[in-house]
Amino acid sequence: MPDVPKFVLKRLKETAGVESHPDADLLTAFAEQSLLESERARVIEHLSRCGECREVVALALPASEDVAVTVSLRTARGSWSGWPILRWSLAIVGLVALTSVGILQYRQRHQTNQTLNAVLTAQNQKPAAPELANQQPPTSFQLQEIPPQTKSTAPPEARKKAQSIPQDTSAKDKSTRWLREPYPASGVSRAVGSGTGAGISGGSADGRAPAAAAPAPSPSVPQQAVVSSPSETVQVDSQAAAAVTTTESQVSDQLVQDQKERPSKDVSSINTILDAVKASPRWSISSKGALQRSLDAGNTWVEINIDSELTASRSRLAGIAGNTKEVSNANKKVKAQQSLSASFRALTAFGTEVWAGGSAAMLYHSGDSGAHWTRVLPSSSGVPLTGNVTSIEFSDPRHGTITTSSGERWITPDAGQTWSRQ
Amino acid sequence: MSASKPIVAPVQSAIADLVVDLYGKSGCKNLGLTRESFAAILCDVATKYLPAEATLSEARAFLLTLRVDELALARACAAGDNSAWDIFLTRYREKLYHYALRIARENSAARDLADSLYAELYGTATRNGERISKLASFTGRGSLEGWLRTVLAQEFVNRYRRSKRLVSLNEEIEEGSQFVAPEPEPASSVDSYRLESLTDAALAALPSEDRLILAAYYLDGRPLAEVARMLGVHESTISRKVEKLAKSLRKKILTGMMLQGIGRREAEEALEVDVRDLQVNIRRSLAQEPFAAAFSEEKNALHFQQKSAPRVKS
Repeated sequence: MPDVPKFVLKRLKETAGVESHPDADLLTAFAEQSLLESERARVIEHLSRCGECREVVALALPASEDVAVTVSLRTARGSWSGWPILRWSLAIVGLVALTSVGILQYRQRHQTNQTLNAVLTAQNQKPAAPELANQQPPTSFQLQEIPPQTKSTAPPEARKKAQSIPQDTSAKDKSTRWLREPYPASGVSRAVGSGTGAGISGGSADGRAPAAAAPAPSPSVPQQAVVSSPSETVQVDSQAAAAVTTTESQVSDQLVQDQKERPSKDVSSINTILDAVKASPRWSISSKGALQRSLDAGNTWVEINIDSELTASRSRLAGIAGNTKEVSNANKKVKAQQSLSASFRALTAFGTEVWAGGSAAMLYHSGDSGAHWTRVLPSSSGVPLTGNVTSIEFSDPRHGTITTSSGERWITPDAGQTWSRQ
Repeated sequence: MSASKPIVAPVQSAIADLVVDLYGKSGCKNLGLTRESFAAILCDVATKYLPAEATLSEARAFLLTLRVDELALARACAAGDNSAWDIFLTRYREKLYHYALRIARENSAARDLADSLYAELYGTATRNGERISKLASFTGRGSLEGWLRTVLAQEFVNRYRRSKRLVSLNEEIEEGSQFVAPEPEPASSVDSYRLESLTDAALAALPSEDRLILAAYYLDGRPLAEVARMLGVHESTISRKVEKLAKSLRKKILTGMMLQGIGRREAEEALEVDVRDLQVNIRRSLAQEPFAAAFSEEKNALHFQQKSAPRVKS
């Protein structure tokens, strides 16, 4: 930081007045950004002259380490894996997947050599696949899950699919990577999309789809996994979906007949899973004005902090003048980004659509249950929204009304694309 | 409370409008507060903070910003409702001590601080034989949690000021001898009076928020992140702002001096000279900083700065 001449500081100090201090309520409301504009101006005026009140406000700031979870606006990377529930559920799913693969491999070996041979010959026709298909019998066992009705669409793609399988299995060890993907729900659609399309290829799907496909042969897997948490059901869903898509391709009639009952079971379990996914998270605002989400119907709440980075360290190094560039640069590095405790006042959730608003015209929207947020800055004929957002109401995902502390009503007919003021 | 102020009509009608709604939201029913007493509390709060000329919509908006649930809880506690106290204690007993610890940074002082606040909350001070709880002054403008922290911080700052008064005499004598006669400003014909008035003018021209940022950063030596959190903006915003402010202040004073017929080089020199003995004054103002740790850190930083500060060409 550049320096300021000493007499500036002296004068800054000496202009301190002796008027009465704002009371604790006002100072609190100031720090929480819930003052009316005129009051805020007065409090700031006082604070600019009163070192004691500045001290009080600073001391009373909420601890920055209160922030439990950070979902950054720009990169949501990493934060999801930090949730204990998710971490454990992922471990469990992984374990279930591994054991089911093991069991099936064992069973298969003792069951029908015929089946294996049929599959292997099918694989051997594809030039790129043969050795890997041999080394990895479990992947070919996914074929057991083939629902008869999808068979007709399969042939044109069969070749590509078969080629993609060796890749998949080699990528299985990377399967933990998809656990870190910020947004499991999108994983579902992507896994499905790549499965029905040109096979599983490219970076985004490589880790995810194989992990999902591996446990598919056991119809019991989805049911086991559903119990733990909604986030888990998302993965299970992708397992099932991937099972359907990957198995479309290489078909052996014998196998289909062996497993005829299974597809129907799968369909029913997929339905229960989808129901569970639809039961969207619950939302709330804490007394500190932080956004909270519960994935277990309100038993536990986790704070969601939009648009902030966690404090890595706090340093009071060189609070005064850093006279040289190096000093100011060092300051910037040392003082890591401190999370800003935004104060939310209003909230509404409509399925996966979540709107949250609060102090200083803050308005955020998430279309995916809070995984990604966008800041919405309503403006009507060039006039932006100001003041605090005090209530948000949506009659459906597109039509909504926002009320501000200054009594204005802002209406959107198209999920926040355009606004009109009343 | 503020019985002196007359209740304005718009406030009354706004309360009449909203009281049913807010009463339901506050959960007063379980706390032994009737709707009438709740309306009276709202009326108190509104007359305390709203200007006399407030309109109906202003009053409505104001009432809607109140944290009515916590307001009801605090006032029910103040009125001595047992279930309210149960809720209050389960929610805040632990937290209160943690806040105190963060403010006082030392175990026994924190306990002391928290205990004295407890006593006040419970109401040891009596007026006309009645216990007056400090919770009766909570108005729901901010969160109850934040209010508790603020009250603790106020108490802490008050105590600190008291104790400082006891020791400061000796220190002043010591320090005074050190700073009695600063060297006469070399080669500068700019008198300090003119500098001061120029500075005052430049500072006064700033918006108060900017003055607050300058004071918090330079005078109080707070980290940028903390200043940012005080104002509810991002740290990078404050960082940019401080840089800009310091530069523009400097420029303003410089042009001011030049307008008064002082040569550019001379004016610059006047500013630079001050930068070099800046540390003298800052050390003194930092001596009033509450935390010894902060003090020594700042001092080191200043030494560094002093060494690396480029000497001005003359």
